[in-house]
Amino acid sequence: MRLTWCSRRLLLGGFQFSCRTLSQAARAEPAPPAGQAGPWHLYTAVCLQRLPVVAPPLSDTERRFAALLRQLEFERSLKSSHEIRHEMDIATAEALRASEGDDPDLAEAASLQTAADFEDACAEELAGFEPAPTITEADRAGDQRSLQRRLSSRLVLVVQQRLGAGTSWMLPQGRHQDGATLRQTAEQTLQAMVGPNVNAQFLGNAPWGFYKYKYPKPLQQESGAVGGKVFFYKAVLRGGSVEPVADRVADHRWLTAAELGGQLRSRYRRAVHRLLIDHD
Amino acid sequence: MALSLGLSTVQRLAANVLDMSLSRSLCALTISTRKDISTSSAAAIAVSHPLCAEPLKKKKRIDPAVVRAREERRRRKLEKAIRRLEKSSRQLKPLAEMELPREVRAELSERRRPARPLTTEEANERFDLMKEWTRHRREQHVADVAVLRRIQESRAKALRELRAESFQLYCAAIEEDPDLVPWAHSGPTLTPPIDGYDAPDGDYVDTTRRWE
Repeated sequence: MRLTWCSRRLLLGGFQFSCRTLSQAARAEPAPPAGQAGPWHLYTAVCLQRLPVVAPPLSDTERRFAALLRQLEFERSLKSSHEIRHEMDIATAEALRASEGDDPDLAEAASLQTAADFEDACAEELAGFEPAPTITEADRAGDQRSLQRRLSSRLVLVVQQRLGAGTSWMLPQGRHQDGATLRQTAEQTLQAMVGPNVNAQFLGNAPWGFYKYKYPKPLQQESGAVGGKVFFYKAVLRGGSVEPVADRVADHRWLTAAELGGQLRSRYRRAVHRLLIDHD
Repeated sequence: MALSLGLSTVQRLAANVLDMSLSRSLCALTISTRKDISTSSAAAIAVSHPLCAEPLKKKKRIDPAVVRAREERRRRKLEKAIRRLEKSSRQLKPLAEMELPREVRAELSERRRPARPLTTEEANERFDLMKEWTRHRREQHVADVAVLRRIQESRAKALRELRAESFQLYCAAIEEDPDLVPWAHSGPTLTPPIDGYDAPDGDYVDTTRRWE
């Protein structure tokens, strides 16, 4: 499969991230020995992300280096036409003052819009435009259910899913049934949890992470399985609206990678954290 | 042939004289070679189209050395022409966008900024800042590589476990996803988009240069 552009984008110092090499490596390896005896239920969980809307503010080093680059560019440049015009305006004004208003040509030249006037007019027009703030209302209120919070970070959807009698905070998870592939199960799970109006783009057919857990004893006897194996799928929120379905989901939050620690259990959080980009 | 058909002496003589290979007149007289039997042998004589040209000259033998010399001269001429064309293609063509405009080049002396020499402190500061920047970028790069390696290992583990669990699901998982490529995303901006923003009308002047 020709994912060469994808490999090039993620090529950092000879580090290739090509699905072809992954699939070849996975096929070439012998299958690892089977885990615990007894069947495992398969689940797919969806890591739905809202990508950053706004670039993060520059760090101190970045700000100072950007200023240095601007200074160097200015020093190595030639004067622009606007600067030349400004200098000529100053000369004309000087000449006019020296001739004490006798010369009609000079007076006419000085009455036209000067470069400084033009600059002021442009600055005024720019001041009339009000950009949207990068720190929003939701940030100030700390509303973790809002998508308008933390615009410079990635947000991951975490739901309080109903499991049997109780609830648990986790990524939206659904049981895999025979006859469907894991990716199809993941798509169906997402729609079942947050409604059909969500516009999510899934990143490939392969899972990105793995988590295994054992059922408690009574559930093991009841269901006939040792526990569950969860395969995580990544998706990117492209639009639409997230409407949690009440009988599956009690509550939902949009959290950054750092905030996940406060919400999820430790071993599960480690498995989720391993598949996230977290440097923002 | 005329002999075999038992024609008269006169007619036999005519056949010998009118040789098909030589013709010294404007038209060529031909004798048909088809073995028809006809009562009048005049049917076998035909007249070709008028040739309207001199009879072909005899081919003179040319000295092979002269022939070789001529070939050599032709080859050298062609090679010289090829070298001239290649030299032109190796030269870099001027790019209008990379050159200073004509008007600016004319007043270059007025446009130069007065050179302001750097003090030692300023030069040292700049040097230190550039060092700091390379260190900062290297740390970023190392962190990026670590993150990507971690994600790749997580995925490899997931695929290994899936393969152990169900080979059929594993094969479905490593299938190509045609919707994934080409991937398009409008990256992060400096400020977020304004809801319901009505952009003011402006002039659009197309300054594309066309050469026809």
